[in-house]
Amino acid sequence: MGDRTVLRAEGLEVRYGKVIAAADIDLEVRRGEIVTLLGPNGAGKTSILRAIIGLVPPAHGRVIFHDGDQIYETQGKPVHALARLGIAAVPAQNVVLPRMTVGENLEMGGRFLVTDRAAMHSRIEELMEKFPVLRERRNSYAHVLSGGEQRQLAIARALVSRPRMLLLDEPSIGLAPLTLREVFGMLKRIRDEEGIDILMVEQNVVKALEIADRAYVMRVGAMDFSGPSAEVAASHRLRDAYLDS
Amino acid sequence: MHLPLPYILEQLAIGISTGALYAVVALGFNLIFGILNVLNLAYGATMMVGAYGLLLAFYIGIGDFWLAAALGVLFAVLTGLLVERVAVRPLRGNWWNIKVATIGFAMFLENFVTRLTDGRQQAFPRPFEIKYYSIMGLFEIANIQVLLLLFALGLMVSMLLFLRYTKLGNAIRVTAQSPEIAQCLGIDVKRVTIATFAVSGILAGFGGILNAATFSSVYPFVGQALGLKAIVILIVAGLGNTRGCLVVGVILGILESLAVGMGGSTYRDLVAYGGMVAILILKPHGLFGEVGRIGRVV
Repeated sequence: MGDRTVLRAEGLEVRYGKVIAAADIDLEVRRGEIVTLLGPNGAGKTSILRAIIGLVPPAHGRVIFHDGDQIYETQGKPVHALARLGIAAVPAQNVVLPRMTVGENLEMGGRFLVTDRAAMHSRIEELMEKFPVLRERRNSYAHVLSGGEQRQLAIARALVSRPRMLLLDEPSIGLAPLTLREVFGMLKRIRDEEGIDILMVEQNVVKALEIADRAYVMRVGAMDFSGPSAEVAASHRLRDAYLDS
Repeated sequence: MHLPLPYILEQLAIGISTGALYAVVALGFNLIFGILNVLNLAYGATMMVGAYGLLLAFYIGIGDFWLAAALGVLFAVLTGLLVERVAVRPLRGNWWNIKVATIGFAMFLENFVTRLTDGRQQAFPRPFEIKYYSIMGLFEIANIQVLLLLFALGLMVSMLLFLRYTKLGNAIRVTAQSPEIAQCLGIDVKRVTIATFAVSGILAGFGGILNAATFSSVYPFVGQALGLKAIVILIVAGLGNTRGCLVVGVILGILESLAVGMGGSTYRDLVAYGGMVAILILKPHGLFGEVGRIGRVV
């Protein structure tokens, strides 16, 4: 483990009853990185992300989160406790609060995590600059936004509390190619400008490898291989993981 | 049939105040539904406990109506918390079992109170003597109806402000829309659920007390009729819709009152529930409902 480690999972296992969704998973996110977790349908990547987030208690293994000098073991902790540690999560589907406006959605991003309300409001204005479409639609109800706008809203909402890291479950789901490019470009800017480390589960291998620094590839409930994105993209094992599944 | 205008106005005024009470009752019901996506069928019995809590306070010597009412509301809150602990939390995720368990809890409470009171209808105190006021010389209205209306409106406005501006109210709204997002935003959903049962208990307690004070009597199964009205209001309004509850509650009260005024008490439920069915035929998801939500409940 290097000094730059922000999040590390060791020997993580997720079960649903007697079914093992994923076992013996090790992965690491380092400071300043975008890391992607890839794999075909049913590989267990979302289960691993849900275990890291706290939505599913892992059967075995540890999740360790480094926040400066502080080290926390977070496996089994509830999601809200992780959010308070600075680990923000964005689910794959139903990402917005549909019966609230864009402005209210953003406010809820900090309402329970930020104590200084003035700072929270100035942060929301700052995010509106980064996500101009949200400023335009500030008073629209979230359920009327397009898929891409909803995704941007969910990401912006997660950023209101200035989290230490961002965990995303399939941010490309349902996005048209142009919107996808916009959202992924935004993720890169978030990492570069705000120093927020990102771990994302993704099905869109090509786009994910374009923005990620490193990638982990899973196959049927186990980790297959990992490495820098360029190496993973060039590896025949990546193609095998998808074609053999 | 010719009815004088003052008579119609009087019925309308009674309907609005009774409807406001129904709206308050439905609002409490709706809060739980919003959080859990399941109907808490012990809600009617919780209202009944609120009313009997007030009677108990009188029995032990608390002579002040409002102090006794506070104790009644406290009983209703404790009952709401007990329902959550006993009939909801252990069954989380199994919505059919929650419905059965909450019905069972309601039956237990109703029969427990029946044993304590021999099942007799009890006289219920009022905060003041009944007086009638003339409204611009057109019609008369009783002070208890005015109190009912003002109190119900006060509770409704307080509840809307609570949901809109307080941290707990915001947490309830977020959790009602998505428990998963709520957790990601730092909300402890389990604690919010417990708090929602407490808030809902406050509304149930006041609802039960105001209803009993209006009719000047209470009996152990009074919650069944009120609970049924609340369910009807919820479904006709569109499940989970706060604004809809307020509107439909008042509509039901007015329909009931006009039906009684024009045809007699036997027409009350016939016209009121007939009207509600007609609304559902025209708008199957309710007046303000979301398509798809009803399928998850019934």
